[in-house]
Amino acid sequence: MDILAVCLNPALDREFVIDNFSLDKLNVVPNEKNMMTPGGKGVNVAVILSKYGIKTVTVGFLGGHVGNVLLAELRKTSPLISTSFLRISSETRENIAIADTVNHTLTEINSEGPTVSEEDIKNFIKRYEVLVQKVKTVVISGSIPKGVPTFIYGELTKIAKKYHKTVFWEARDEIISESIKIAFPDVLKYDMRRSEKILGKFLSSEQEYIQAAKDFIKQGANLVILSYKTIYDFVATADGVWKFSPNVEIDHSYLLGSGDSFVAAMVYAQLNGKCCIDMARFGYAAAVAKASYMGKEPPSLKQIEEYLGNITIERVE
Amino acid sequence: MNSLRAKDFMIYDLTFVFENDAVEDVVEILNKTSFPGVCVVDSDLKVVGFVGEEDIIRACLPSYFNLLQTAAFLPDTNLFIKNLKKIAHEPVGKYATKPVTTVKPDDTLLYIADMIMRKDFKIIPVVDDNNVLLGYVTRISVLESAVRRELTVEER
Repeated sequence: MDILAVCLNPALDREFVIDNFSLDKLNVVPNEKNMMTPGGKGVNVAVILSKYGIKTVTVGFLGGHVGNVLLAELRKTSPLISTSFLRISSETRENIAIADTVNHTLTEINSEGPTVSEEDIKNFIKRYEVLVQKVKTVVISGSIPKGVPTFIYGELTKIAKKYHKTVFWEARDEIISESIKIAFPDVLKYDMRRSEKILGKFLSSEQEYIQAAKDFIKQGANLVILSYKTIYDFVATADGVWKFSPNVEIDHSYLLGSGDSFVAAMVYAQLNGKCCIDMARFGYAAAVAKASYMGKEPPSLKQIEEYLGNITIERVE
Repeated sequence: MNSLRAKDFMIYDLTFVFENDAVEDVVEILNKTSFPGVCVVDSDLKVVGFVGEEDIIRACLPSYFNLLQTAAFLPDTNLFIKNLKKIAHEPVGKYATKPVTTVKPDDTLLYIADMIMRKDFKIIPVVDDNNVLLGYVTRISVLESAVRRELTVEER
């Protein structure tokens, strides 16, 4: 086993394609237009890594009937994914998307998700500590369910660091700002899809982003990735700061899954001996490659290699 | 011959308990996972025991139970429930089966099916050469992969 993928709040993604979707009427969906896929950022990363031939153990909190369906679907995905979810009593969340390709609408219904008890968290951490020793790298990614403190990323990283593991994070600001008080990951990637805040503040100028990235490096991260205006990234290492931009037109409606592809490709690059800025370069190429087509399917390694030529990296500090 | 091996049909699930986990917590895990039994592991994920529904049931029955022809001879019908309540908070390690019968990822379907038939196992842990848990094979995973398997020319 190479990777421990931590997905504290997994979700069952359900997609219905209903053309001319109408409210207040019966909409019938044929089975082939009713998709059910395991989701949640950590799970997505594990699924992408399995396509690159990398073994992961996926952990998190899972519960109820939705949880069982998610697990059954995940087990079908690949024998390279081992699961070790802590079972809870509360029901796992379900994200329902209704896509209408005629009227170009996307209606989403997301359940709020489960509540996790203190006892569950204690049991989870006990099991996590056993599993973490068996892997090289830990990826913690995505939201956290109710009941789990926002500093959990820090707690889990502190344990991983006890065993000298490399740790990746992708999360939103509330989680990162509380968790870095406990421990810093090696690779810190901000999820800014819902909010562009960094440590509680809205940043606007490029200079502010550069400074924020440098500060995280000074405090203990080895590689920091801050997305800027959705399609750009500021990337910092101990050697400097770079701005990454795409050389190709990005269709914003194709961005689904590009963040997870970014993380998975960086993990792949790290396992294959790449370091620092080259890891970020590979990740960014994957994200841009993913944004070149619709759907959640990750780009192949060959596509990522090709897209390395479709990105510009400019040193800014 | 391209025989099926455990790695082809096992469930890659690492559900496990520790020796000091309470019996009631293990009952809950068995209920939620629908596994008939789980491995007891040490801090290195090495399999040190196995606890199944049967182990817990047996622990709640008087030792002479096997000599009785039916449960109707039990002196107190609530005995089972009383005993279960009594052991609910006890560490499960006390009731686990040791040593554990395990299989390896390269063991063949035939070997595992034989084991299931002879010893009446419902679930068998799959471990690596260091006895570290990798997953489980269940009766249904064996049956399902056997049904799907194409017979070779000689076998027909």
